[in-house]
Amino acid sequence: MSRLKLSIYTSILIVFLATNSVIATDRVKTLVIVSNTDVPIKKLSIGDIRKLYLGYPIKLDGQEIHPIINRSDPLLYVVFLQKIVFLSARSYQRRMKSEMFRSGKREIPEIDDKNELQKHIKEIKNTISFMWLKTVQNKTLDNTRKIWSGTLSQ
Amino acid sequence: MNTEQKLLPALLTCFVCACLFCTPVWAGDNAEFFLLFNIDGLHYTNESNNLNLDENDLDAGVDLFYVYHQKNNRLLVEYFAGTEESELERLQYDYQLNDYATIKIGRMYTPLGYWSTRFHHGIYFQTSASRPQIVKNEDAGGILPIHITGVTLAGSTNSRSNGWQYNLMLGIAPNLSVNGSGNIELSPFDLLNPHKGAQNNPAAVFKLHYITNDKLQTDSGISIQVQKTDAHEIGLFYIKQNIINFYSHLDFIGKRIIASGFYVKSRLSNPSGDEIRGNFVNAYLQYEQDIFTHWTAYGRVENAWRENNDPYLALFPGFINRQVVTGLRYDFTKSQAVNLEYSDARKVSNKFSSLTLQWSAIFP
Repeated sequence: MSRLKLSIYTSILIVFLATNSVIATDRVKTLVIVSNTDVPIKKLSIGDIRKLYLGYPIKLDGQEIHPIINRSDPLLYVVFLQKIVFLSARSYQRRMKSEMFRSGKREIPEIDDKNELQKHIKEIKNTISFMWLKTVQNKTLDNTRKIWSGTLSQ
Repeated sequence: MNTEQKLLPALLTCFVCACLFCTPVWAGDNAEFFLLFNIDGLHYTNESNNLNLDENDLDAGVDLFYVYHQKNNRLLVEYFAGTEESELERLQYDYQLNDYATIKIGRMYTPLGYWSTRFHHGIYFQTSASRPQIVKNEDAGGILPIHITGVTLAGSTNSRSNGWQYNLMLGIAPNLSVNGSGNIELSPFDLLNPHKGAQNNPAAVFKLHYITNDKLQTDSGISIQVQKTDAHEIGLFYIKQNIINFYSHLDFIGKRIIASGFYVKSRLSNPSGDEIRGNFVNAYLQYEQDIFTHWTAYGRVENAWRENNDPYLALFPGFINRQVVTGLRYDFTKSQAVNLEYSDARKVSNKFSSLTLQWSAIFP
């Protein structure tokens, strides 16, 4: 093989690997929970977050935490339920309705607008929600905690 | 029954339905309301002398559910209207005393066991098309009281999701009567028609169960129900019963198991003062497995022991002693499902099999 051919193949391989690496980086997603500064969210375990979103009461330092479901991004909603609550969206919705039917428990409020959600978290005490880390970086909420990170298949 | 007594339930029923339909408008964020539908379309059974089973026709029903919250107060209403029956199933007022205790007043489901308090009349919420025989509703041939009117104290030993929970209920039990088809059935106290039926006697239920909510969710417990059932209408004085139940519900990702066992001890007293005693055991095991994204396969086995010599079970010849159920559920939208269920059952007198096609849905 000539030196020229070797250089061309090597260049192609490097470009291919670099491109692939960029694509893979783009697919890596990080889930965080966000809240106002009044919630010590570092004390919340993943199990606690799961229980909160299944409708069970959780208290931190004597204060009850109120979860909000972020419906602004369908992918975020599905990933959160699968990776943190361990349920599909359908199973989760059926389960929550069933729980309300059984005991009369309130449903967890849902907000489908990012700005409204951010405003709600800042204004209402002891509320938490979940977002992509990338989304939070553009916002002013700074009390965050990483709860999951991984690659999503396209 | 005079004209006034006939009109009262109908008027109250219309009033309740009107209130339920209007409440989302005035109750706003404090109220929740939804409807649960079911149609049992194809119901084939090869039993010749059908007493308590559904006929080979369409069975349809709609269950209206409404809950209103105001701070520590909660009002909960459930009304079922169907081709076979229409009844106010639940009308209860809850007051949360603290994190550990809630008091409930009204007509509600007995906390005995798992199935009744978990699914009520919400056919859409249960994976299978049918209920186990032992927990069937009274007007569908059920042999144990499901609806009790009274007071319940319920709560948990801590305010978190894991731990012990309890229910203590005192109320009035259903009485035994003869229905329009000439069969004996339990008649719970009807809040919309309090004059109906004979005298209602007391019942007490205590339930203690343990819940875990980690990756594997479990709910296991024991319940004890003690009751006295009025039986004048069927030629007896009363029936005293002690019922003990053990159950366990395991919820894995993609699969669920419900197992429950009942021990029922009865004392039948006739007007001459003589008593006949008996007891039987009944158990069921249901397994559910998600097979594809929207498909769930399930199977259930039910069995009774010492049923042939029990004087209480002898009052219900339509009761199914043994049954094997298999089925497939398809959730074809996020709020609708169809079930195809086959069952092979045995009563005291005969064996039969049946096939049911059921559609169930929730709205909105």
